[in-house]
Amino acid sequence: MIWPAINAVYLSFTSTNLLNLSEQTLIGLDNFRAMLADPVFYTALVNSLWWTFGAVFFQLLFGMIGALALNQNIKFRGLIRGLVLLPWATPSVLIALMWMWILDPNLGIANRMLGFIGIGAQPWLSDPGTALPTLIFIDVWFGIPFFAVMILAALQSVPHELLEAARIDGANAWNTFWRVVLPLILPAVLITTTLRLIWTANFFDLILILTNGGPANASLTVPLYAYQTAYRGMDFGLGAALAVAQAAFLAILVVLYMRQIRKSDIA
Amino acid sequence: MLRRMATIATVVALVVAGCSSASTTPSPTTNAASGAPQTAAPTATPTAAPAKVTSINYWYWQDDVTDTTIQTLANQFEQLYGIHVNIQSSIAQPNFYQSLVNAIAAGNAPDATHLNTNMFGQLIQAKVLEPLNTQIDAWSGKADVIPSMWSFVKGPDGQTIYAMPNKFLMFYMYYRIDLFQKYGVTVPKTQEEFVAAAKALTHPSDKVYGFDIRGGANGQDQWAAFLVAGGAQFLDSTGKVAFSSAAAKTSNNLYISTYPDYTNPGAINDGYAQITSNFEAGTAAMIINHLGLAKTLDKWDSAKTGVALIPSATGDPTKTTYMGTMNANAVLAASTKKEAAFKWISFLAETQAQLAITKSTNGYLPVVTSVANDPQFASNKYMQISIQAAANSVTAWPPIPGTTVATQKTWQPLFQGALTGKNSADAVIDGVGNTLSTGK
Amino acid sequence: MSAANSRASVSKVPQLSRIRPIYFLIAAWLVGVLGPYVWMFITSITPPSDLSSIILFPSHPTLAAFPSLLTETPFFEYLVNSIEVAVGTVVLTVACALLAGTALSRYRFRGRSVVLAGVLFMQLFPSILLIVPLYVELKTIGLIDNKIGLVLVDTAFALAFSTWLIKGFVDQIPREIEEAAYVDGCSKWQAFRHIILPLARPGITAAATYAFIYSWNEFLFAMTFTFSNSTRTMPVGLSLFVGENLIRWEFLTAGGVLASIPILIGFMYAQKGLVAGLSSGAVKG
Repeated sequence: MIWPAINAVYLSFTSTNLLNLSEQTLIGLDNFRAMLADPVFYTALVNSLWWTFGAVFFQLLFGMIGALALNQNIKFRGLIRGLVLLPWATPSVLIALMWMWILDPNLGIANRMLGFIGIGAQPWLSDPGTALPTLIFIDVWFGIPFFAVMILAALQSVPHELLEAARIDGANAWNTFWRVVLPLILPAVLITTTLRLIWTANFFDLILILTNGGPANASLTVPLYAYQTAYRGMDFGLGAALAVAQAAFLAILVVLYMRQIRKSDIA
Repeated sequence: MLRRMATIATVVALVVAGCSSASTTPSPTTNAASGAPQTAAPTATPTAAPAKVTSINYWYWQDDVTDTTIQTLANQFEQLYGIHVNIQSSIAQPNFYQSLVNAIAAGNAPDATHLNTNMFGQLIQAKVLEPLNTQIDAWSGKADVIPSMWSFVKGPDGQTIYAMPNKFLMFYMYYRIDLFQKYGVTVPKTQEEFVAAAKALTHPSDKVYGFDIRGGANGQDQWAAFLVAGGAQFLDSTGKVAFSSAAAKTSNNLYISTYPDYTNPGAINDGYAQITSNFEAGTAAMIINHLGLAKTLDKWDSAKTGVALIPSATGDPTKTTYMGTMNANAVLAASTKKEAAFKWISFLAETQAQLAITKSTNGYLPVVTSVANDPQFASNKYMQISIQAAANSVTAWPPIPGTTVATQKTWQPLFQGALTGKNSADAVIDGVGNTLSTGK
Repeated sequence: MSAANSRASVSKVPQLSRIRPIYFLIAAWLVGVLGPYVWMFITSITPPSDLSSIILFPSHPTLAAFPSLLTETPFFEYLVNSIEVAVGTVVLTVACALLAGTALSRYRFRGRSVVLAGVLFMQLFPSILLIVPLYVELKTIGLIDNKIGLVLVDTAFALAFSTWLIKGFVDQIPREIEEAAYVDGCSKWQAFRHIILPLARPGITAAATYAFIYSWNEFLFAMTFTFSNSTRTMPVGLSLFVGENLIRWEFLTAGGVLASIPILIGFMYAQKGLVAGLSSGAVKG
């Protein structure tokens, strides 16, 4: 199972054309040199950082709030839990086309609504300044339910006695959450956030369909660039190098995470 | 003991479920084996003889899932020649090339496949496609193919034919007759007139814009069609890349000058869906496209739709080159059933199949004379303008590796950069020209 | 104390003081989530010719897209395939993740942290770059164009997170409960069956939900590794409605609406598993 990943690392040191694998040659660090000399790589790297951390931060924040809300004894809880889950369970191709249609600058409902309440039309995906934030917004919308469900599950392991005790001690809701609930759900939140950061960094379906990295590379991320290089430019080695470079960044996250849990692991 | 079992349980769970780690390197030797065993249809159709029915795999993308034309043709073909065609048509066009590349790399390529202009170059260079000259020379239908069609399926040597022409499309201009009348604008013939018309048609208070420039995915075709009409050429007479020229730059500047003032809001990102819906909604007065849009418009309100040749440098069609795009069928070099595969793709280029394809959901231009002259197309204005354009000098993106990269990777960021002022307009021409010649 | 009582008490805490804000929050959330879907539904009942001119609601709504989606396209078959693949993925993923997660949580063995870190390693790359070696592997074992092959690949990718998640939940179960069970004469298996399983139930539910949705949405593997209508899944089906020169909005949206129904029903049922652990009162006393 680990083989495909090892293979990707190997490819990054080769010149590879998928259509003609017999001419594959080892070229050492040439791909990485080409990558570092390419200004577009740095644009993509900065975009990737915004995309990954921006999207996951808001997903986590709203997912946490959502999980706390869904954990209350509310009416129609089952139905509501099911309904708010929907974005997560919708294929990204549909999410992308749905939002493309909503945000369409000429015919979309979003700008018409903004018109009604007196705010002018927004360029959304068509301005280099707003394209990436708009994509992040859509990804947040898409990703909140994932965090909500994971945190909701984690909340179940908080013993009721502790909440009761905190209440009797006169702690307010905020203190109870911060001092009692959060430490207990932290392991689940940490692994969920770590993996979500990795997945988000590698996820480019939405961007591919909605802007294809545009306008003028304003929403180009590293994996999208890797994909374009490998499958459009037919330079699989360089594409793999881009992916490996990003994987190295992400590996730092994994190491940080492993260190963190080893510290708190009471074993 | 339990500890060891736990280790085993973990490892087994992770490894077994993680699918076998049978680590076969994708090697060229696996390329030779055709993927037929895995994808062959289960025991053909009931009508076919149970033994020895040759079955070939054919990849195809459908514009419209409800269109049954190609399957009907395959059934007819099987009755005629006893060859079963297992059509793999559930790959959408945007994912098609990538899927084909993966299948080829994994040694699971089909026997024959549908391709378009933008995909030829890299495949030809990698020798993935079977040269067809000998078989075509022996094919009875050869004389019926419109001679100019062959130039779109020949390799860079100008001799070797790698695919059988199947569907042809010419780019032309669609315009809203009602909006032209309302604002008193005449149909532009030259590219300067085009920019002036775009300006005159733009009335933001009415939500009408002159031209919906296609700045997003695959807008390079519309752009290139405009530039070619403006005098740009992809290759010179010796077959060398000659894209960067004064004419190309002049025309490119005119095209870009419509943005952002005379184009639809958000046009920088617009793809096919946006330009067509803006045109139908009457927020765009002019767009460039080909016949692919015609059937959609026919369902809507054809009376409001005018068609014209793409404005050119001189305004004189006989001195202008018009751009088209070719969808063709190729036989894969790795196929073990090349004869059957060729039989099928040549069948698709014969009169009966051409007639059916031309009349299918979206409509295409036939590549054979016998169908092009069919009287039933005489009343179709979309077909007529296409034929009119094709009667002049015609070109398409050349079948060189650089075309795939230029159209799929290089063009969009540079063109959008020119629209936003991030880079110069000329940088688009130089960048695309460079990609065409270097393949990078 | 009984589980039922404690559940009631936890919900009472916030309920008394802040019933209003919660409902406002939920309502806002529902509007935000459902708005785009409502718009999608309106699109699906709008005839294509009116699509570009609709204001808020079509003047001639039609449900024609639904029957033609079911009769003229293989979408329904794809939907059934999707359900099969997703259920297969859930069963396999949860079974493996439960075993692996429990083992990793409860037992210290050599190579434990290597396994823990190793399962994360695969996730570091965009899957598009892993697809060719995977293709070759599947071809070697003869599972191209096969739902089982798809289940295996989906499981391989869903397993990392599921294992970690379940391990985390098992970590939270105090060992004392298990030890008490052993004193009562429980075997290892009985302790697993009667203590770990029910107490980790929210984690298992979350992992199952994740595995289901992962497989449900998975597009790249399904598109690359399957070919025939009997193996293609729903996301591939949706992608087919976007042609080179034609977008069948009415099919896309009707398909989206149809595809969300099993999810909605499934999760309304599954979310009951998100209620804390030992409902049978196994450790009472």
